[in-house]
Amino acid sequence: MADNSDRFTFQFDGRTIEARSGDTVASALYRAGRRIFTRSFKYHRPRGLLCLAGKCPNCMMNVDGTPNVRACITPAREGMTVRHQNAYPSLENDWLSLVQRFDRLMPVGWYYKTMTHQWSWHAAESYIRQVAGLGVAPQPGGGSKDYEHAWMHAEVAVIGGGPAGLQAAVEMAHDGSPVVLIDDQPELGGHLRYQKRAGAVASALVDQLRATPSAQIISRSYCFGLYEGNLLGVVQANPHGGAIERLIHLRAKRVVIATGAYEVPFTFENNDLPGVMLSTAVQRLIHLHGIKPGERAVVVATGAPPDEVAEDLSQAGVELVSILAPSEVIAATGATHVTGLRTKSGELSCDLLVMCGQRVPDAGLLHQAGGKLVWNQDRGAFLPAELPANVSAVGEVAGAWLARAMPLPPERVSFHKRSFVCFCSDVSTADLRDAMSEGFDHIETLKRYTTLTMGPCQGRMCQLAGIAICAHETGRTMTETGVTTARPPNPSVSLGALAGPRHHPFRRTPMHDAHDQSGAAWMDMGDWKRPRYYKTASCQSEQACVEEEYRAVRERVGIIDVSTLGKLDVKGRDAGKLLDKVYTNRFSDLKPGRVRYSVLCDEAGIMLDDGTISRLADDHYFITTTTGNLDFVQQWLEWWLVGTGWDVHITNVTGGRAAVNLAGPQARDVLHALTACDLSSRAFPYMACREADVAEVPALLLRIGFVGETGWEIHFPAEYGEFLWLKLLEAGKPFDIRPFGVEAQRLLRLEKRHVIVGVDTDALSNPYEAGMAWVAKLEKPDFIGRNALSRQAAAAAEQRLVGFIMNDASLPQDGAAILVGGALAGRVTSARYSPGNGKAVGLAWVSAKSSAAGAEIEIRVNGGTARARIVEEAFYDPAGDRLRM
Amino acid sequence: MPPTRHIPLLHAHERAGASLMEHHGWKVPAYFTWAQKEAEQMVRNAGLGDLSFMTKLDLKGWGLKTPPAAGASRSWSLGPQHYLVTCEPPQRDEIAARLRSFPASHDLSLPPPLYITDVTSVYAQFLLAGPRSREILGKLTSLNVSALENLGCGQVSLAHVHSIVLREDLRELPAFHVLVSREYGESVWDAILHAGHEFGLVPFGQKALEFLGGAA
Ligand code: FES
Repeated sequence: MADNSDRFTFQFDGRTIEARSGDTVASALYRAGRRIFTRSFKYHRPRGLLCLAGKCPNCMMNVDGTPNVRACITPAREGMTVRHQNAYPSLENDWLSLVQRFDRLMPVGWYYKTMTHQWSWHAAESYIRQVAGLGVAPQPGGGSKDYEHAWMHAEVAVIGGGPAGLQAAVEMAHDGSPVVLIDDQPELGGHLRYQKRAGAVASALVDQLRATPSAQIISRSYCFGLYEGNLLGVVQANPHGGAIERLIHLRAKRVVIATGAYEVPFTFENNDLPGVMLSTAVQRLIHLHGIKPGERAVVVATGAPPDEVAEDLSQAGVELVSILAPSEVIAATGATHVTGLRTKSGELSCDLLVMCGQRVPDAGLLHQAGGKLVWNQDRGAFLPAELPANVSAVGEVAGAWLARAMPLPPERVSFHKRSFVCFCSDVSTADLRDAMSEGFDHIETLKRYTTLTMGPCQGRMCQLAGIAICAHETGRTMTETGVTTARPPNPSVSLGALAGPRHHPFRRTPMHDAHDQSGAAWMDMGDWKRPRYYKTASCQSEQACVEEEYRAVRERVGIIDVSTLGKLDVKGRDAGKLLDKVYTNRFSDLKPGRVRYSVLCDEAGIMLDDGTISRLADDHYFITTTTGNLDFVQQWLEWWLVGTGWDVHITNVTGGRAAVNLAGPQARDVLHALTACDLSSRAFPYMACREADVAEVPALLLRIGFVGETGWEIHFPAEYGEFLWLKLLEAGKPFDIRPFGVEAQRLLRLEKRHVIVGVDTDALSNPYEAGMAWVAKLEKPDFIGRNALSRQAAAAAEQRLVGFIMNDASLPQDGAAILVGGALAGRVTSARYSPGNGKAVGLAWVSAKSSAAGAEIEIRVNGGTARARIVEEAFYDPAGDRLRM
Repeated sequence: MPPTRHIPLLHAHERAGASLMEHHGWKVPAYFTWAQKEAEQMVRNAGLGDLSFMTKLDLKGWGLKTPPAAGASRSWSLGPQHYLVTCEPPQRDEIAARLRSFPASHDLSLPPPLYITDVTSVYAQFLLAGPRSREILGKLTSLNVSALENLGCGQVSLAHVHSIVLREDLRELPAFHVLVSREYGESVWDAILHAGHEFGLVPFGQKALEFLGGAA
């Protein structure tokens, strides 16, 4: 019973609503006099509380910005903001309810019948998109609350906190086995909570379970899927103050389904009017919330007289006008709320119509888990049979205490446009008859054509009635008609819960904070954060900053953080053998202290990655991979190692090694100030590597030059990352050193025509077409991709990756189309303005016949075209002299 | 004199108000608020400490058919013939030397029995300790941490990042080391703290561990 002393308020559509402890949003609103809770999907008919159990679509509202929240199972909280949805301007006065006047224009299968031409869809689409749907999705990033994911493991999972579930959980947890009980209601006890005569039984079971240490209870949670291996998808509402919902992946050795049964409505004209309620909803209002549900009630029931319901109503002070069999009822009357009942024997005046409907086992989970549902005529229900291993059903869901309340299939069906079967999509008995007369008389095709069982209630309110009407119309039995297939998620799940927390992992290099101090403008490269360029007082725009950084490298010295490179430490006697097999170049003959560039191809000769490989000792190599391909390269190496029996051990050391590239004509002077290593080209030539201390930090120096200047790639322990970065900047001060970002690096390498695999190449690029034939050592007896590369070497290329320089000052975008003679002939992969050339330069894939050096091409730029010339050589230092200085 | 080593989250800890101290050549948080309070919170609910300074050696090779005998260290089996050895920094050289003295086979056709790679810097290492630590991990990973016995380990995706989880209880207190590639350190640290908020998780410094008298 609600506690009258503890009152608080929340907002509904701008009005303050008083609630009591124990109230749900719906009960508080009902007590405050609200009777219309939502508007129906298609006709915008007023709808009120029907089940009060979270099983129907009639109370969905926007709660604190989250749409489609069922108000009847959402506890009211102080200060919450609730808004109506799917009605304009208000629930009482919804302009879109005019639609029902034109229902003849919207027959069943309306979409299929009217959208027969593309133009008809285009004409209707924007209107349909505006009026269709239920709630409005929240804006991304809105609100401070988040969704969460969690994982749980249990010996036994019991789904359902009614008497059967409680009893099962108590018994299972008795021997100390971890048991998790999931219940979708705010309190445990199921129907015993509001069927007061049995209330004491419920409390005793709940107390017993709470006292069992190995039992864990998760209330206000529903299970939407039972997947392979007894994995249950569970959504918990408001697990704590900072979360909207938590999606729990619950893995259990045994699953006990105790989801019970729910009541379903009768079909008669205007059976959807507010005030027409299921008996269990009425009992909930009376016993759980202390609310008098109406003044004058008519009870519609079959089978045994509903003594308890009648007694409850009279004790709540509701006048019981009459108890009728469903066959007596013709129609409910009223505009926005029930005001009476038209029966075969006359009119009755009432403001509450209580339906003691058939109870239907909530067996969706069992069905989707692979269990069979078999019709049981005595119980009037499809009952589970042949359940999967380690899944069992107990209580009403298994048929206990169920009884058939009416003949099924029914002897008579009242076909009427306002006699609703599916409350979610406004599908009426007449719609079902029409659909069957059009040939959709199989329960599965009937479902798809009418959308019966496909709305938010996922068939809970309408499946049995739909099957019964289908059986009645087709002359089949219930068994012959069968059930529609249950699939997860059922009930529906919010996308937020599936997506989980907003957390997205990011990767930071050891020098991240130092870059921040230097004014880094950040960019995301995969999960990595990298400085795109550095903002300084001397440059006003990104282009100016990049050009300053570019000039520093070309004229003095620059330094870039390349810690994001993938780094693999490869040890073992057969390491060279593996690298020979996987890379196109040869590595077993590489001398310790030397570095070699290579690409990695697949069996079709497609370039997958590239990088440098340094030999540190006879049985020790150090590989760098491109930033985004580290995991792939490691797995690729390990894949080809499997089964060889070779002695090779691969360790990913990416995180452990900071790396910088110090480059420019004065790079040697800067480095010289910090190391005793002989850096002269004689002692330390291009493509050599040395291990030496730099500022007392043990480092591996690679003399390589991605940006086309004398330079060293310095790899060293990450814990010294910031220290050495700052030391190098300090040592470079006399030379006016500049840190440079990814943008300047891309420009510098483009001038050298150095390819970035994955940017300038794609899933069809081979080294020959990419102008890198020199990397494929076909004289090696075998390596991955060799056969394909041999064929490609002999075949005429279809397309080629070429360099181009613009004829005028225009700058094409990456991806711009290339035209030859007005026809599409390729695309630009990278293009940048080159200060060294005074024009934009770039790389592009061009059809082989148009790729001759000096040939003119047209490139799409800013909606027009601009002319460019194909260039064979690098745009900067084509002989590579500066690398070797 | 070599420079002081930086744990991956040094600046993040500073921003969170940590007082720093030097610990075996590493700069680490001494405490975030008050060591005793952090220790009490760890015992009552849960605490998260940054132990990235711990030495970590990756061992591979045919000689590892049984766990390596490495004195005052812990060895964790990561796969067939693959172990991770962890120890305090001062023990590193002695343990590495002991491992290197692993007897080679008399069969000269066999490769060396053991390859050692120091992966101390490769991983950020966090210690999640306390009675609520299992529930916190349950929000971050599918690993069944309840089934992970003391001194057991597993490799999982934790907060969307590949992680190694090592269980090493602090006396009676359940405790889990979480190792993630260093560059993901801050992201995972934040994710653990966020997940643990509802359970009263607080960060702790080296002094709290000393207060508990249970250096990890
Ligand atoms: S009244 Fe809330 S779901 Fe039916």
